[in-house]
Amino acid sequence: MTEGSKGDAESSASLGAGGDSHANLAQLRAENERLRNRVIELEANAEEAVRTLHADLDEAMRENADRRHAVRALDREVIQLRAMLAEAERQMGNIRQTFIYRIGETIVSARTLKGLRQLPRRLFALRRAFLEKRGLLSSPVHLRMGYSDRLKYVEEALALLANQGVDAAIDFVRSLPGQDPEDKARALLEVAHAVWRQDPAQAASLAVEAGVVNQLDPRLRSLVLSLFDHGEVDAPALILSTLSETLTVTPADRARRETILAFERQLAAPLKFPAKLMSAVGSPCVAVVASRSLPHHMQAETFRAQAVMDAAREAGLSTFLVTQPGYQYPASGNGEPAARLFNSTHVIRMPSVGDPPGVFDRYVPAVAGLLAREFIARGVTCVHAVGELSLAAAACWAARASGASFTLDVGESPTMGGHVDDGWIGRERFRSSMALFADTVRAADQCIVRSKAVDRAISELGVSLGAELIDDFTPEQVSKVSEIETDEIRSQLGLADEKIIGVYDSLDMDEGLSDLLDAFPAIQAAEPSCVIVYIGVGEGAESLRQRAVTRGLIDQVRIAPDLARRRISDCLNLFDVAVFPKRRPSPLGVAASFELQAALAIGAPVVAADTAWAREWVVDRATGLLVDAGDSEALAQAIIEMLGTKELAQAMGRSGRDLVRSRGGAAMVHPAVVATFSRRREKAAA
Amino acid sequence: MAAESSGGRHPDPVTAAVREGLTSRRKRSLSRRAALAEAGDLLRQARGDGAYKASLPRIIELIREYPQAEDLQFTAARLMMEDGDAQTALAVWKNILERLPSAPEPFRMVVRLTSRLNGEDAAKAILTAQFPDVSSVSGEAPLFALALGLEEVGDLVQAEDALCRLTRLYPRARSPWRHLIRLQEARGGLISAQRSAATAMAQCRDEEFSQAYSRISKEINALTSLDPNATLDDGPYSVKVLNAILANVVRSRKAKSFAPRRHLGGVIMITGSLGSGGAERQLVTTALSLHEASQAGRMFGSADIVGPVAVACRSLTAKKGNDFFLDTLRREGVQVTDYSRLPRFGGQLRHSRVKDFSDVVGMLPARIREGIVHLVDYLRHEAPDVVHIWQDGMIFAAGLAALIADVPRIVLSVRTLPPTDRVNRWRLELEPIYRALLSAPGVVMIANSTMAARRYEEWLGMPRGSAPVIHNGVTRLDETPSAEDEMLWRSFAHRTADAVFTVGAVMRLDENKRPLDWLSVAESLHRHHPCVRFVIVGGGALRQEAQEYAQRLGIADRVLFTSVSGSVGYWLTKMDTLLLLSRFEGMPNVLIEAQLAGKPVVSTPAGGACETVLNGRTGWLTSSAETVDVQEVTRLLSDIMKMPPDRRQEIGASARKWAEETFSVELMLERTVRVFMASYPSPMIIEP
Repeated sequence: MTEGSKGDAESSASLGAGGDSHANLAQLRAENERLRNRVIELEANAEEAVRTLHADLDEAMRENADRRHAVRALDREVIQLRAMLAEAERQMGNIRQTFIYRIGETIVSARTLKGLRQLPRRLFALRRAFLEKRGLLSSPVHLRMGYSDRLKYVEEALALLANQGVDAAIDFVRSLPGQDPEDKARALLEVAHAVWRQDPAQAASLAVEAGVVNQLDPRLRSLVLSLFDHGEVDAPALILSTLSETLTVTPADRARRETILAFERQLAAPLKFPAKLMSAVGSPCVAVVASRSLPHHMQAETFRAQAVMDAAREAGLSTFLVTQPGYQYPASGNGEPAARLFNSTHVIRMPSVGDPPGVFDRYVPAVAGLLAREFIARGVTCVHAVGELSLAAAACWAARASGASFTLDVGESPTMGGHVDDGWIGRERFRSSMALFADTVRAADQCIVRSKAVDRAISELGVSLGAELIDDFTPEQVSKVSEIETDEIRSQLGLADEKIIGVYDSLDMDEGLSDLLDAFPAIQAAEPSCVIVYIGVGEGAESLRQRAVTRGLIDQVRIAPDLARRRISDCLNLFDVAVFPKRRPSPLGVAASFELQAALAIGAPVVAADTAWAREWVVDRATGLLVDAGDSEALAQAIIEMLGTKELAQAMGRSGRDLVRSRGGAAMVHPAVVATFSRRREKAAA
Repeated sequence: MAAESSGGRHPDPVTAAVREGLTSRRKRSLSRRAALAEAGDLLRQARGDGAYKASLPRIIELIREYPQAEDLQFTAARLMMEDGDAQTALAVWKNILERLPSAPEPFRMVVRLTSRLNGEDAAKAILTAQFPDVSSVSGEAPLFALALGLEEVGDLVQAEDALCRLTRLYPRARSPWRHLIRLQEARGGLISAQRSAATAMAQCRDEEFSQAYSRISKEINALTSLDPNATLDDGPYSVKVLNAILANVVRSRKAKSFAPRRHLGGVIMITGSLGSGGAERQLVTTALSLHEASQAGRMFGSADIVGPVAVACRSLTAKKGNDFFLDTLRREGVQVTDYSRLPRFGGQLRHSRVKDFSDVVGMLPARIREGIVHLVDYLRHEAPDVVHIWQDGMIFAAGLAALIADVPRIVLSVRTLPPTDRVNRWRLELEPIYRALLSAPGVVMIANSTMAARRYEEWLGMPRGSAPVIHNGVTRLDETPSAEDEMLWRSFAHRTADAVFTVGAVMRLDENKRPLDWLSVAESLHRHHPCVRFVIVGGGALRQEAQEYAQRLGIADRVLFTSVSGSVGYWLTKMDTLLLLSRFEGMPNVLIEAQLAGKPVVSTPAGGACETVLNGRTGWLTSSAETVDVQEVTRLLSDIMKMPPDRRQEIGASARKWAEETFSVELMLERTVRVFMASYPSPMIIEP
């Protein structure tokens, strides 16, 4: 009996006993039906659950199988890799065996005389091949050939050069067999390197022969630049014009190449400035052209430009500054000049024109085109250029094209390449750029010069400026001093209360700089606690330091090129005596005395070598002491006097300050500058 | 599963393989001899391509097959050692020594690695513990182990004595003879080495010793021919050879004149490796900046940088991590050459510049020989204007090569104390090399600190101030944290929320940095000012000891020990001041980096540390580097802590300005180029 039927029987019994039996029966049946349905439902659920469980189980089993497969696949892969490794090892063994066999074969072949002769080469070839097979040679093919082999002719040529002279070496390299062209080319180049200073033309000819074979040899590039740096133009230009690809590996290389060729072009056919067609009219507007912007650079040029702008503003003229791309803003604008406002100064920064300033025959017309457009658009009537030659030449060109008057403001004698060594004046590179300077002077409406010494130096170079002398302006900024900054500089130099004999100047190769070192022992005998501080940059800094070392003075000498970044007045304020010992024997490198003026402006006691340059500001025993240039004893005595007599130093400091204020102050300089604007305008109007 | 060392921190796969091999006898795939040969091949291969990890599994497999083959275990341990994991290698060698207590080689390696990781004193302590009475050691293996151990700690005289005793007691054993001859040759005792080789030849009747005898006799003949007037004593012949070569080369260099340069042509920087060290970082910065300047036409001062700029490295694969900066350089187009792989003598000896010295090159120390054999002709071929050699190890290895190759400007860059001050770096040949190099025109020594420059000048008798000082160029560190470091700080900051002042350190936790003294200072400061917390960034041998010490001092909850972190810039931002208590320092970059981050620093005046701080203005120096006066340092830190915030900020700003002005990369490059281009009127050492 099922549970349901038993329930039914019990229900029937109770029905028989009661009155509502039918109703109860129906109720019970309904209940029975519900329960049955419930059982069916539960059974269905159970089946579903079982099915789900089965499905999950199947899924898990499938996954498990997949994983097993994957593991098996990995196993197979490992086995395959192992097999590959074994195969690679076997092959490596084979390679070894093969090479051992080949080595054996080579040795056997050496039984004959010819084989014996070839033995070393064949063994080397085998070694190279073996290393190559093992991947141990990753260097370029030409390097695998070995270096010494490629230089075999060089050694012989240099030996000949040392023992039998240049001609023998040149004959030897030219007669070398042509089957090793690159090796021959290298030998030609090395001989060219050995002879370029004595005979640049011969060196160029050898280099051209070498370059025909290998234009990208760095030694060729080095030779070309060495020649150019030495002041040669024709010889490096000959090499470059014969060999099209040399010096063109990078954009910088291309710029160097174009610069050299521009110098050559200037030698053959100097740049011609356009004729002046008309004069600009309208309200006066002054464009000041300088290579750097204001007021970030503590340099004479920037102060000079600032003074010109201030003078124009004072006279009620509108003015703005034009500069070239600087390194902070290498690409101003979008190929167009970019206008900026620095404090109250309007600055137009020229865009890069592709060619560097050294390629002046392209740079000048290109920049001039842009400048002329700006000048016309802004109604410029006067252009005043200070600083870098190519930019000044472009400004001159643009002034002529736009009808503005042009003033060339000369603050230093041109060195054209930054060299002041002997013989530089006679070299092609100097002559070439001096021609541009002379043309710019000729094309200018007027020149002003900031120092008589500079004027004389330029006359000695054969160019007559016909310039008006206007003293350099000494702005307030130069004479402002911060004691905190000065203390910090003293602390950086590791100095306490020592008396400081200071030099603030470019540290070039001028012998006068070491006159102070020669004077020092005598000074120290009189003033034991004193030191020398040189502040400035230049190629002579290291050799000056070494001279101090060899004289045993390094503990008493500080050479601080890095302090040149600090404000000049804070540096000069450090000095108990400011010394200007340079002899300046050559007309090159003579500049308006900005540093000397700055020293006087803060009232520093000044001792200077008696040069025309120094005499412009130092009146002996009035604003400072002058000593004969190169006389270290007199220099020592003057410094001792200055250090030992406080009253004298203070009095001279005061006089110097007064002189600078009177001659270099705005009241004197500004009217003179403004007069240059009006003079040109009057002339133009007439 | 890999076994672990006694400390339980370093897994030892060799011991695990031996155990496994002994418990379950495995089928052997090849003979014992073939197994040894294969292991040797794998080691050589790894040395060649640097893939040490790839070779290890196979050797471990071979150890499982031959668990009792000692040489296989030695090879595996060597492989791990050369892979650069010295801690694990030490653990492995210690376990081998436990299994094979009489084997000399494991003892030697344990001494070597202990010396490297924990200092020479620790290595000597092991030696003393093993051999308390040196004179009573008499067994063959112990005596040999003693000799090797003495050699490792640099006591070469005692080592030679022990080997002599050993060869007297056991004249038939070949290894002691081999070591004795090598040791005598290395110290330059050519006559003694010849005598030893002759005795070994008679006692052992081995071809190896007759070859050694012939080689040494040949060297004696070459030496005699090089300088017939020289009395042939038992002095260091390598020095005699060097002196003869150097005199020759310097004489011919003095006769030449190098044209003054207006542009900077080729520059080759020579370094031992391109690992992740501070010197290498400076080298890479210099090389990349010059390379970039040469491409863009940018000038330094008035110098036109033409290039090319290249780097020559002694080996990029000899040690793991030697190529850390390789990709950085190659990506930017700087050519990098592994010079140990260049052809010997530039390919052909008969055309090599070295051919005049070829007979005696073999008698030079291995490093110098390698430099000459591989570098001279490479440098001649590349013809750079400047060769810039970094650190004294490489000056030793490559200086002579650059001189023979006639490079116009050779710059020797020293960065720490001279080898005389570091006993384990001393070589007899160092002084003649340095003196000869610096007496040649165009050779300049530069240092990155005045301290290093002065010490080298004193050592070589150069005039004071001869060596220009070019400080490191350091850039401000990135302050972005890693997620892990940020989490670590947050949790620590939450734990120490009451703190108002944080003292930090970024250092390797080793004896030199005195982490325990640092913690004593921390405890003292915390006693006076409870609201202070401490952060120590870095790992090292003493890390665990330092953590335990912090526990003992009761300040463990106030000190956060991070491990080595790539987010040093971030950690510096969390510090109010940085404290460094080193005994020795070269030029501690961390002091500069902290100041760049605007944090005042407190440091001992160790080495170049004095030059990185303006005492009293950007930081404070203690009175001595020899000892740490806890009270003094506590007082200095207290003073900083008591300062008003605006005063602290002012000092921080001064520190930043000072560091930016003095240690900028731009300044370092300008000074470097100035040295490259300068014309020096006379050599740095003027020989009488």
